[in-house]
Amino acid sequence: MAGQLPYDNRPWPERRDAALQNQTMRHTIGFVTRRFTLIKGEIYRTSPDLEASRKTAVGQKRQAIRDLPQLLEQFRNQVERRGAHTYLAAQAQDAVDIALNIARSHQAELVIKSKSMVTEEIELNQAFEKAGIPVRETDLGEYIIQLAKERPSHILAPAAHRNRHQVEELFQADASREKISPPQSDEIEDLTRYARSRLRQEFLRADMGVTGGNFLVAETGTLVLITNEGNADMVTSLPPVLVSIVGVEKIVRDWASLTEIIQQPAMSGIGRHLSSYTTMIQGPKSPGSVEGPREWHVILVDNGRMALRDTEFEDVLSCIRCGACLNACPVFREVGGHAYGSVYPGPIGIVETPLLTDFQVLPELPSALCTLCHACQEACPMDIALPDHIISLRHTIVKRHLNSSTVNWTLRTWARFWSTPGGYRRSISLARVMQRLSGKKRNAQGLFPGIFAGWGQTREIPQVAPKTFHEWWQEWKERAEEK
Amino acid sequence: MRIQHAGETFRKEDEIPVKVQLFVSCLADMVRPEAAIAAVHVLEKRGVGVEFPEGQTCCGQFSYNAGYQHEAAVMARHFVRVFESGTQEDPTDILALSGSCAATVMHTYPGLLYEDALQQGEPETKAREWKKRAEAVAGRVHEWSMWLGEHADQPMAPNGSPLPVAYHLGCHMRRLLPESRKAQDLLRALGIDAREPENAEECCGFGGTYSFTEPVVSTALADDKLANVQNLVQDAGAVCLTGADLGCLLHLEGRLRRQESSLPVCHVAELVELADQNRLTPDQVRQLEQGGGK
Amino acid sequence: MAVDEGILRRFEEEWQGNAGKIFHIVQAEELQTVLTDLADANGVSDQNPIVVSGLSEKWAQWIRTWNMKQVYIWNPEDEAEEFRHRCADASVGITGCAWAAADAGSVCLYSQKDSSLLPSLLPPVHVVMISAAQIVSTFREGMDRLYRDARQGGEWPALVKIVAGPSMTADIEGQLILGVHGPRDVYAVIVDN
Repeated sequence: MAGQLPYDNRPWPERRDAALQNQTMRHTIGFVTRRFTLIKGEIYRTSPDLEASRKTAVGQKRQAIRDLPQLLEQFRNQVERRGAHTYLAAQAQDAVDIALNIARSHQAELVIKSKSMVTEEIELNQAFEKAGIPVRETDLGEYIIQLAKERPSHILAPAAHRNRHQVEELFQADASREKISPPQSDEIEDLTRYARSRLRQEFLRADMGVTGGNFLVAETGTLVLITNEGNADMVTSLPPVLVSIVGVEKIVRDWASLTEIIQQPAMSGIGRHLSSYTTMIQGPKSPGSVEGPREWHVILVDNGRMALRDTEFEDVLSCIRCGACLNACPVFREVGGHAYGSVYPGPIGIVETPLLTDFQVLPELPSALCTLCHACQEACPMDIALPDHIISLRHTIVKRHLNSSTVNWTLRTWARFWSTPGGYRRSISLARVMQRLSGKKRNAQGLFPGIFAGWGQTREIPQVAPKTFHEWWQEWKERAEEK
Repeated sequence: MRIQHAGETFRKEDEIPVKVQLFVSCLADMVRPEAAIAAVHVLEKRGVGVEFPEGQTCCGQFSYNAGYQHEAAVMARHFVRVFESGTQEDPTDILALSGSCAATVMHTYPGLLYEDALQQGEPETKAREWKKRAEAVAGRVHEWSMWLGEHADQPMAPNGSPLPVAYHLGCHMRRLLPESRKAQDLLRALGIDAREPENAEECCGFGGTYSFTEPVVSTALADDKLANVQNLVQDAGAVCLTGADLGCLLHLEGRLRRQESSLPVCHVAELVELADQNRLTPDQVRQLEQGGGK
Repeated sequence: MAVDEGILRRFEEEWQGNAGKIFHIVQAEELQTVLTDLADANGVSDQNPIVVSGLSEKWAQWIRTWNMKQVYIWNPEDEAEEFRHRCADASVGITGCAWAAADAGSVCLYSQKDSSLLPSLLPPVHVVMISAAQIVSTFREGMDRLYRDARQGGEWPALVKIVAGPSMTADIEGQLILGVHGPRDVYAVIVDN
C-alpha cells in the first residue's frame, strides 16, 4: 500500500528558481557537502577494516529486509518482554494518532524531540501543535528551522541553508517572545550558547520525549540512536514517557549485524569513526535508576515501505540516512534540499518520494533533479543502485504517460529517425535546413523541435558540420580506392 | 606504453591489433567530424587499419537515460547489427569516440536488449539470444583514448615544456570505465600537460537530455565547471578545454560562446593528431576551433 | 593484567582526535590534583558542585577520603530526583565506564541502579575514569564485551551510552562548535593498574 508524504506544492520551476537565487544557501550547502564528501572518502581509505565491515553490513541488511516481518515480530517480543509497548503503524496518520493518544493519556504539556526524519515524514509536530501540545525540536538545526517554520534542507544539517545573521534574527524573536535574554551576538558560539540554555530548561521540564531511531536490533530488542549534540541522550534520559517513532526498515537481525553496521552512519555522514553519542535503549528504567523513561513506546512505521519488498527497489530499504548521497550530488550542491519539495531530498529522496507514494507526489523528481553522473552510487555505503533506480523511475513515468507531450514526441521521433541509416541521414538534412533558416542569430531555439529548444536558452547551439564524418569517409574511401 | 622515436609510423611490432572498427558517435559525426577524422589519422599513423561501419547512427543512450527504454532498444539493436556484421570469425575491437557511449554499450545493452525482447512478447530463448549478441559486442568496445594509451606506441614527446590544457573527464568515463584516469597518461606522454580543474569529479551538467529539459540547473553546473576551468587558464596557462566526451564538451563550449569566451574546446583526438604532426602550439590549438583541422 | 602500551597510545591518540583530553595517573594523590585543578578551572561551588557516579569502590573511596564538601557521589539509597537536580546544576560530572575502545577513541557507560549517566550528560565538563585494563583494542571487541556483559548479567541495562568526544554541532554554517547540549569538555583520566 502506498504511503503518505508531505510535500511542497509549489511547482518545480518555482522551487528551483527560489533555490538558485538563495546565495547564502548555495554557499553553505556547497561548503558543507564538499567537506563531508572529502572526509568521508578519506576515512574509508584509512580504515580498511571498516570498509570490510561495510561490505558485510550491506549483505546482512539486504537479508534483514527480506526477513523483515519475522524480525519485526522478534523485536516487538523482546521489547515488550521488558515492559515497553510497541505498535505497527500502516500509514503516516496511524503513527500520528498513536503518538497523540499516548501524549493525551499522560496529559503531556511539553514534548521534547531529538532529530527524526520519520517524524518529518508523518508531520508529527504539526499534528501535536494542532492538538495544543507544544513540541520542542532540540537538535540545533531542527530547532532553527522549527522557529523559521521550514522543512530540513539536508538530512544531517537541517538548517544548512541559513547563515548566522538569519539564525540570530530567529533567536532574537524567540527570546523576546519568551522574555529571556537574547544571544549576545551573531557569533556562532553565542548562538549555540543561547540554544543550550534555552533548551536545557525544556529538557528538564518536559513530560514526554520523542526520538527516531537509527537501528532496531531484533535479537536483543535494542533501539540505537546516534547524535553529535547529546540531545537524544537528554530525551531518552529525562522525560518520564518516551515515544520512539521508527521506520520498519531500520531493523537488523542481531548484535553481530549491529556491530558491522553501527559505525557506518558516522563514517559516511561526517567522516568519523563514531558520532559523539551512540545511545542504546533496551527498555524502561529499572526501579531506583536515576534516568530513563518509566514508560517506553515504540511506534514502527510502514507508510509505503513494506510494499517495496520483493521489487527491484528493495535495496532502497537499506538506507541508513547517512546523507552521503546528498553530499556527493552535484545537483543537490546547486539547489539544496528545499528545491526537491520532499521531506527526503537528494538522490535517495528522488527515488524514495515517488516510490513511497506510488508517484502521487512530486513525480518530476527523477527527471528534473538528476544528471545521472553516478556520484551517489559511488558515495552510498549501502550500495543502493540509485542511478539505475532513477532511470527505472523515468521509465515508469514514460509508461504511465506522466511526461509532457513535447518530451514524448521528441524522444519517440528521435528514435524512429535514428534507428535506420536512412532516417539518420534525413534528420541531418533537416537540421541543416533549420540551421540555414535560423541563420547565425542568437536565441534561434524557436526553430528547433521539441525539447532541443531548451539548449538554446543558455548556450549556443552547435552547428551541423558542412561535411559530416559519414560524408568525409565516403570521399576519403573513394580517393583511397583511386590511388 | 613504450615510447619510440618518431618515424613514419609508431607501430608496436606484433602487439598492436592491425584493424579496428570505429564508432564515432552521433555528436562527432554531425557537429565535430574533425575529432573523428583526427582519430582516423592517429590510428593509421600507428599502423592500425580503420574500418568505419557506415550504417552506424547513435548508441541510444539519450533515450535510455530519459526513460525511453524501448526507443533505446531499437537503436541498440541497430548498433549490435551494424557492428557484428562480417566480424564473426575475426572480431575486432570497437573504438568509441566517447567514454559515455562506450559505457552504455558495455553496461546497458545486454540487460536492455534482454528486457525489451521480453516486453515485445518475444520468447525467453530469443531474449537470451539478444543478450548474448549484445554481450559479444559489448566485450569488444573500448573508449578511443584509453585503447590508444594501452595498445599503441607513441611518438617521443617533443622537447620543450609540455602544453598545458584543461582536461575534463566525463562522469560515465570516470565512474563506469575502469582505469579511465589512465587516459591522461597518453596525453602526458605526447607532451600535453592535461590538468583536471578543481572539483573535477563534479558533473558539468550535460547529462544527455537533461541539458535540454533542465537548462537552468544544467547551466548552473556548467558555470561552476567553467569557473574552475578558467582558473586553470589563468593560473596554469591552459590553452584549451579538452576531453573524450563530446556531449560534455559541446555543452560547455555552447556556454562559453554564449558568454563571449573564445577559449578553444576540442576532443583529445584532435590534440593527439597535432602532437603527431609536431604542431602542438597554442596557435595551432586555436585554429582547431576555427575549423582549421578540416 | 599487563597493560598493552600500543593499545593505550592508540586510545589516547583517537580520543584526542575526537577532541577529548587526557590525564594519566598512577597515584591517588595525582587524581586529587587533577580534580582540584578542574574544580578550580570550572567554577565548582556549593551551587555548582561535582557529581559522581559509577566509579569503582576503590576510586570512590579515594574521593571520599579528601572530604571535598562540594562533591556528591550517587548512592542508590538516595533520592533520585535530588541527584538529578544536583546534576543539572553541577559544573563537573565524574563517571567510570564499562570499557573503552582504542580504535574509535570511545568509552561506554551502562545505566544501572548504582551508576547514573547524568553526570556524563548534564554538566559542562565530563571526567571519565578508565582503568588501563578496561581499554580494548577495537570498538568491535567492545561491542562483544557489551553483549557478554548483558548476557551474563541476565538483563540488559535499560540505557547504554557510547561517548566519542564532546557534544558538538556544525549546524550553523558548517562551523564546528563544542558543547551544545552535553559537555563541552570531556577528560579521560587513565589510571594505571
